[in-house]
Amino acid sequence: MIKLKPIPVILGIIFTLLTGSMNAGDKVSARFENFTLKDYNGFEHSLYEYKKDAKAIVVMFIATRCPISNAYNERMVQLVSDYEDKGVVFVGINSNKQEDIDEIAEHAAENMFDFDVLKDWNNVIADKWNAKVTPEIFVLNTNFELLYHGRIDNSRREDEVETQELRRALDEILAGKEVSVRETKAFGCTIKRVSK
Amino acid sequence: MIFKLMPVVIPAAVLMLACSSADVKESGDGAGSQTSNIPGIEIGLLNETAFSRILEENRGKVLLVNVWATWCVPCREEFSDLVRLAEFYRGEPVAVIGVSADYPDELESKVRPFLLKMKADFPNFIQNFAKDEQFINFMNRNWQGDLPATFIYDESGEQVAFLSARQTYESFRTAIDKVLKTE
Repeated sequence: MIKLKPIPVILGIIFTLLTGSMNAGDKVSARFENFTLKDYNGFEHSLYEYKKDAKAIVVMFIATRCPISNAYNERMVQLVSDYEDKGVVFVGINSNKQEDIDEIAEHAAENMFDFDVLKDWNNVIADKWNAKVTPEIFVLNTNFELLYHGRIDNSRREDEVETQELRRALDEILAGKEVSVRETKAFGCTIKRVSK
Repeated sequence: MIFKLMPVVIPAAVLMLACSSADVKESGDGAGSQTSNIPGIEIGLLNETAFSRILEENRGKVLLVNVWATWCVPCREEFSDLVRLAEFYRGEPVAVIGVSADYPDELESKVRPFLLKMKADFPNFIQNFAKDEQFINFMNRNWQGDLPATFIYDESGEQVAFLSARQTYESFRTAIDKVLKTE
């Protein structure tokens, strides 16, 4: 005879199935919580401060040593150049445990990054946001809800790019349209996390 | 893509001869536990059809599929553990397969030299899906594309484990033994 599980257990299972955990690609995204991190100059920045005058906030998980992330350095600089004046704010986050402040500062200078690069010690934000790779992009609206998550474009080789999903998402946001492709994937380097 | 997939059906005898050419194989010919005893290292092109064939050929075994790339440092670091793992389970109902996420046109310049250096004595492939994302979702919809990634299939060909990030010989062993014990 099959024994029924106690009601609280069943309710708990149902609740878990209904709610799950908030994944970056969920259609109905929750508001991302505020956080405060320091940039490589030691200045603190809060996610919510980037709302000022912004139409969208692009958070980019990047790395100094990942060849794939590095293949996108120039493209990231170009994106900032093309969209900054249109009201899009770009923020880099480095969550890799082995990449320290000095290395991040040097890397940013070498690649002429004109956006903040924040250090996510102990990969706290990467864990909260479920960021897995570099580069990995999250585009938020000014209510800090997710509009786009995924890659910059479809090829780590710039000369073989066919689709530019981040640009398309930004163009749609700036045009007041729904983002047509909200979630994409690509190969990338695993974010090197601390053991917890 | 430089290499175009062709639907080919090659008799087993021809296949055996072809294996010695140490060349790129179309559609995963020779996929399965019976390939690669190094010399030139046979490397197959992996698409959905080839992967289905791999699963079919390894039915009755625990199958570990490791996705790596030459540009991925932790992938390179864990590769020697993979080689050791394949050696440990030789003769057991366990198969180890490597899938490179490099571009197929990097096979000769990057992938094969690395596999030769590592003495990768197990079947090896290079992913040749039309789109990277197609391959990522095909392997596991929860996979974000971070490398290395390891997928373990039980004897019925069902994926029963997905290991994200760098593994060790011990963690590979633990994951495989867990599946073996449940069978």
